[in-house]
Amino acid sequence: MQKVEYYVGVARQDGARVLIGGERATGAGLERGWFYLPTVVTAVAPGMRVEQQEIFGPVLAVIKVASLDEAIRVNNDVPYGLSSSLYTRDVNAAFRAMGELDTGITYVNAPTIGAEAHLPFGGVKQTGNGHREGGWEVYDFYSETKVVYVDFSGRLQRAQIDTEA
Amino acid sequence: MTETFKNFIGGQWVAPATGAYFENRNPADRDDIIGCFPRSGPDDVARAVASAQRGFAHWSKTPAPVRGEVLHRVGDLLVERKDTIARAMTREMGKVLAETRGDVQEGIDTAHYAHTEGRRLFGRTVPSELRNKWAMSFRRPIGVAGLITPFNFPLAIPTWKMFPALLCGNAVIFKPAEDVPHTAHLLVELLLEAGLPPEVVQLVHGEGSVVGRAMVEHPDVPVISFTGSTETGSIIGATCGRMHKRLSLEMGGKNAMIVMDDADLDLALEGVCGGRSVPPGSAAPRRAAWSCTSGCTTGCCRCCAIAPAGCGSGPAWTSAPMSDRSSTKAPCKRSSTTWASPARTARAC
Repeated sequence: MQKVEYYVGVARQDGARVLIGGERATGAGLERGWFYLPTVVTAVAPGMRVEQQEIFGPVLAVIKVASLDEAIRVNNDVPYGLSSSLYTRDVNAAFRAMGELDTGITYVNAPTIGAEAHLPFGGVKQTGNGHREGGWEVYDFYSETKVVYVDFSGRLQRAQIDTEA
Repeated sequence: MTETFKNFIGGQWVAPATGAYFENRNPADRDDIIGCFPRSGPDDVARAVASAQRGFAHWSKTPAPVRGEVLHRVGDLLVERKDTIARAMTREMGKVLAETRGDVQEGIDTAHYAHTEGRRLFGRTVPSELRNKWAMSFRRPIGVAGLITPFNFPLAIPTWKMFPALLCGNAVIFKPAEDVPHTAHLLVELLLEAGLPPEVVQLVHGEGSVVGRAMVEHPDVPVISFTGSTETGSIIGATCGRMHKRLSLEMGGKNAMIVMDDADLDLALEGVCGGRSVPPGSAAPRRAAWSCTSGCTTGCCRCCAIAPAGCGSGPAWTSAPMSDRSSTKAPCKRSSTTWASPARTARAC
């Protein structure tokens, strides 16, 4: 809760505008819990802390961009790379974004949640270290590859050296 | 009287060697105490490692399809208990029920997928470059895997780590986040009921800086899987690098949604609000930034303005309390007179 309050304060300091929310929720039944209002922050510029850092709370930073190129650049300029999402009806834009967004997962016309158990899950840059959870890849992580050679020729055969000798 | 929970080490539910406990409270109602959970120490971890090594000795020799059958039963039990576990999860970490039920569903899917993998775990057979010679690879279990999991997906993330680790023939030590020990307890109970041999799984509650660290630094835990902050992941990475451990890190995120001019705006708004509900305390896979090509600010406000505040347990609510990440957990005082009231089942709403 304090972390969310800290980041909303930081957003204000950095010149962003809290359009809605921005404080603890009050009301009957809420006084004994940790409730924070859904918060939308506008006038956010790329590079602001509210745009770069993970808040872990109900805070949405809205960044206006002029083009798909700029949107991809804004996405790729954060240190993390878990997932991203693109809403469009333009198939060309969708395929460009799939290839160019630096995240482990990209959703097209769906939000950034909804991973399925049989596909690898994970991110790039400071989100992960190259491994994935879920899907077929995780079975490689939890097992060791053992290679076996069985020679049934009955004589010494030497591989990877001069077999012509 | 507040319930006191135990670790699962050496095939038994046991009190921590430290004798210390921490409180677990409902984030939607701080007066609702779920229970006291062990604040374990390095001795508990050492015992868990010794037990897991014994578990590994026979589990790694159990055929993979048989291991898969156990996970199949785990999946079936999760189906049966979906609602019970979802309610316990909502009570201890605050996501709305639609979200916690989804969390359990992810565990069900992961169990049933792992079951099928028991009959695959493919190796490869390739031609040798020499006559009368056979060349192939197969997959071996590694050993004891240490699993450190976060609060935001209290069932799904542990199952993502645990089920494939078990299917591959490893034994596991499970250290859940201090915010969600009850869900972890229910999961381990269910695994044992499904027929997992007791020493194959160990549950050690406590703080990351103590229990997590002891596990990461233990020479007989060759595999570590961690989901949490980038800062902690870096520290774990340094240790695992030095000790030549296999490490999987899943850390921070800042997940942007890009909304183009030509987008279906209603669809995008539904997406930005989560479609189902907003789990405010659990942001890893959530919308952290919304980049718009133009003119969608108004729509966004409309969307958030209609999301009422409420507590996690009301199925119709679309907002949930934050998890209490603000400080270290209060210690449990062992005298029952210190509790204002017994843990209640009623929620704030």
